Amino acid sequence: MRVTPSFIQRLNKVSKGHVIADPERLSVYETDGLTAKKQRPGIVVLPETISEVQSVMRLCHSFEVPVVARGAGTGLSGGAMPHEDGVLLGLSKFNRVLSVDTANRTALVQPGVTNLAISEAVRSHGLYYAPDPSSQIACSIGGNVAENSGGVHCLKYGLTVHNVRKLKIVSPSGELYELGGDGLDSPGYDLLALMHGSEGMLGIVVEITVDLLPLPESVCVVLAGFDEVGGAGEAVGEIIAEGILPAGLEMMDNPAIRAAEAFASAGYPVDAAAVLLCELDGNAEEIAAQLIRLKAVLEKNGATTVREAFNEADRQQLWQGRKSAFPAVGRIAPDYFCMDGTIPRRELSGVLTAITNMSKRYGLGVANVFHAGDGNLHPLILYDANDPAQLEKAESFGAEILTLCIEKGGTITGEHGVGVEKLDQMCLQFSEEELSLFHAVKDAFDGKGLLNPGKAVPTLHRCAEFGAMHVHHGETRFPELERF
Amino acid sequence: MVDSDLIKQLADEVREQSAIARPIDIVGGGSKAFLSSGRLENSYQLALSEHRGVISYEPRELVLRARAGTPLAELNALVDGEGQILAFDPPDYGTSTLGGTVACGLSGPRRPFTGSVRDFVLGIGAITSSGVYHEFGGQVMKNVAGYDVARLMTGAFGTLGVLADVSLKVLPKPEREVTLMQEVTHDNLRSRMRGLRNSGAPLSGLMASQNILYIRLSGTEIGVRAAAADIGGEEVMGDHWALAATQRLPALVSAKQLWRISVSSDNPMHMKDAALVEWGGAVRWLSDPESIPRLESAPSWLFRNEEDGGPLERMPPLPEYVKRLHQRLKKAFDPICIMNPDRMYRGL
Repeated sequence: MRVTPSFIQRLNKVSKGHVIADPERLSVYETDGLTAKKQRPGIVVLPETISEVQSVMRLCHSFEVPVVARGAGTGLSGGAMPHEDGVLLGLSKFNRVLSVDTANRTALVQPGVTNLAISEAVRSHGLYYAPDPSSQIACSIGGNVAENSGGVHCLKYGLTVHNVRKLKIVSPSGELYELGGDGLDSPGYDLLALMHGSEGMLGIVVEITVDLLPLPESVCVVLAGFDEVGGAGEAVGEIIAEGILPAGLEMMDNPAIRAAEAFASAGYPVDAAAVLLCELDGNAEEIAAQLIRLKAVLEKNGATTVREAFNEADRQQLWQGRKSAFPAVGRIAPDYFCMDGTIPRRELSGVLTAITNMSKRYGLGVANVFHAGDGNLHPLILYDANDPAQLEKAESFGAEILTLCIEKGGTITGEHGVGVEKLDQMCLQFSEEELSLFHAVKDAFDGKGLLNPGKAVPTLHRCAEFGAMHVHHGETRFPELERF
Repeated sequence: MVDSDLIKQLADEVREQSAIARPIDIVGGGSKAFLSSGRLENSYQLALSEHRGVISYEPRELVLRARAGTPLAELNALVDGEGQILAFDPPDYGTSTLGGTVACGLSGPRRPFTGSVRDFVLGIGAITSSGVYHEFGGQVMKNVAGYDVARLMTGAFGTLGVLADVSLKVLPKPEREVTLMQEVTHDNLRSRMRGLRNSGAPLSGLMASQNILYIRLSGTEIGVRAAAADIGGEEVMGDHWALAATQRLPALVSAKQLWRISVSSDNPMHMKDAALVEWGGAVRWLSDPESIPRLESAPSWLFRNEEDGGPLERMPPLPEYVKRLHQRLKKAFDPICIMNPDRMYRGL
C-alpha cells in the first residue's frame, strides 16, 4: 500500500498538527548519517505521546503502510533511510529524561533524548551512562537501542544491550508492551536483548530504562605514539594479556592522526605511524598501580612517545582528537565511507596491511580509526562522490574490506548496523538457512512486514542475484585462489 | 572423559526425531533437572555430555569457545590457569555443563557488578528442530549483523534449539579478592546495601542471610585494600559465594520450596523475611511456605520444589502480548514443537 489521500486525511486526525507532507520539508528527512543513500519519505509524522504513536501504528497497520522510525538521523548504515511510499516516524519530540532513580541507579528516558544528555542529567548525582558513541552529542538513545551502539568505553562497560534494563515498545499493530523489568532479570525469552540492534524492524521503542554507573573516582588517559603500526597492534594484545582491562583502548593510523591533529590540535605526534589512546579508571591507588604496568607494556612494544593526562581538561583534549576523527577526515576529502568490520584482535596488523594494499590498488586514500580493544575497525575510505567512477571504486573497496573481516573470523558490522549499506555482505556472512531464520524472527514480530521494510536482512532473492557465496570461517569456495 | 565433536551425530539424532515429530528432551550434565517442570512421556533423550571440549581459547582475545557438554569445572580451571575468569560466576551444581548453564541463563554473585551470562555470550552454534546446525554471533566482541539470536537462545531452556557450542567473553582475574562479613539488622539492611552499591567500591558480591552481610571486593591489591579498610568488617575465607550461587547456604539448604524474586535493588519487598537477599538486593530468596509470591508485583520463580502437588508452573507468568510473541518465536524456530516442550512454559 501507499500513502493515499484518505490515509493522509486519517493521519491528520490521529496526529493533528504533527504531519509533514510539504515536499520541501519532506526532503529534510531524505537521508540519515549515510548520506550516499537518499530517499524522500512518503510522509513524515512527529508524534508527541505514546498513545499518538499507537494510533499512528494502528492506522498504518490497517492501511498496510510501511513505517520507518527515526531518532536523530545520525545512523551510519542507512537504517533510517525513508520509504518512498511510507511514513517516517520521527521521535525527536520524545526528548525528556522522565525520572532518575539514584537508589537503583537507573534513569527512565524517552527515545529522542541524546546519549550525552543522559549523562549530563545525572552527573549531579555522581552518575553517568556508560556507552558513548562518538556521535553522542547528537545521537538519540532510541537509535542507540536500534543499533546496539557501542563507543570508546565498551571494552569494559559493554554495548547498549548491556546497559538497558527495560523497554516500552509499540508493536506494528499499535499494542504497547514492556520488555525487561525493574530487577536484573525477567521471565521468558530475552526479547530485551533481541530488540537491541534490530534496526527498527521489530517494534517502536517509546521508553527506555537505562542503567547508570557511579562516576569513577579517578581517570587517567595515556597517549602512546608508535613508529610502526605492528608495535601498536602488539601492545593492544599485551595490555589485555597483562590483565589490564582499560575503560577505553583506541588506535589511529597516520592519516587519521594527521587529520585529527589538524582539526582538533590535541597534541598528537603527527609523525607517528600509529597512536594508542588508553583510558584507565577506578580509585586513585588502583590507577597508579596499573599505570606502571601499562607504561612498561607500551615501552616494550616500541612506543616512542607516552603522555599521561589526569585532569579533566587534559583528558578531554586527548579524547577530542579521537572523537572528532570522522569530521576531521571529512575535511581532507570531499566524501568518505566509514566501514565497521570487527575482527579478532590478533588479526589487526595483517588486516591493516591488507587495507593499505587495497588503498594503493584502488587509488583511494584511507584513514583508520578504531576501537582496538574490541577489534572493531573503522577504515574511512576517501573519495569524491561527484566522480561516479570513484564512488563505485569506494564501494568495491569497502566490500573487499568487509569480506576480509568475515574471512578472518569477524563480522561485517560491529556497531553501525546493516541498514541498507551492508545488505549484500549479509549474504556472505550468513547461510540461506540462517537468513531464513532471521526473516522468521521478523515475521513473529511484524507479520505484515511494515516496519523498516528492506533493511537489515537481505531477501534470499537478493543474495541469489548478488551471486554471493557464504564465507564460513575463511573457508571460501576456492581457497587456493589468491584474494586481494 | 575424552573430548569429542559429536555435532554430526547430534544433528542426525534431531533429524530422525524431527521426522517422526517426537519430543526431544535435551540433557547436559543433568544437574539442573530440578528446574524443569518434568519430563514428557515418550520423549527422546538427547545426551550432550559427550559433545565436549574446548574448541578455541585465546586468552589475549578474551574469547573462549567450547562445546556444550564441557563441564563448568573444567572451564573454570582452564581460564584460572591463564589468570582469567568466567565473569558471570556460573553456578556449578556439581556436574553442570556450559550448555546447561547458558540454556538456563544462570549467573552467580558477580552478576550485578560485571554482568549476566547473556552479557558474556558472544556467539552460539545451535541445532534447530530441522536438524540443521547454525551459527549466530561469533567470536568477536562486537557484532550487530543480523538479529541477536545468540542472546535470544541464552536462557531459552533449549526450547528454540539445542545449544551445541558457545563462545564467551572472559575477563582478567582480579589481582586480589577479599570477602568481608558484618553483622546487620533487618532494619538497616536496605540502607546498608544501598550505601555500598553507591560507594564506588570495587564490589563483586553483596548479599545478606541470617543477619550477616557478605561483601566481596575484587580489583588490584592496593585498590581492594583501600576499599576494605574503608568498609570495615571481618575478613573471612570460605566458599560462601559458591554456596549462595547454588542455594546451599544454611538458610536455604533444607527448604522444600524456594522462591526467587527479582526486584530493583532498593525495593523494600521481602527485605526482612527473605532467607537470602542476593545480587546486591536485586534478588530475594523466600523459603517460608506461608509466602505467596505469585500474587506480587515482581516476577517470582519457583526455583526449587520438593513438595508434592505444588504448583506446576515454575516460571512467572508472561503478559498476554509478550506470551504471543514467545509462541510465534517458538514456531519460527521449532514449528513442530519438539525442542524441550513445556520445559519453560506450557505449549512452548
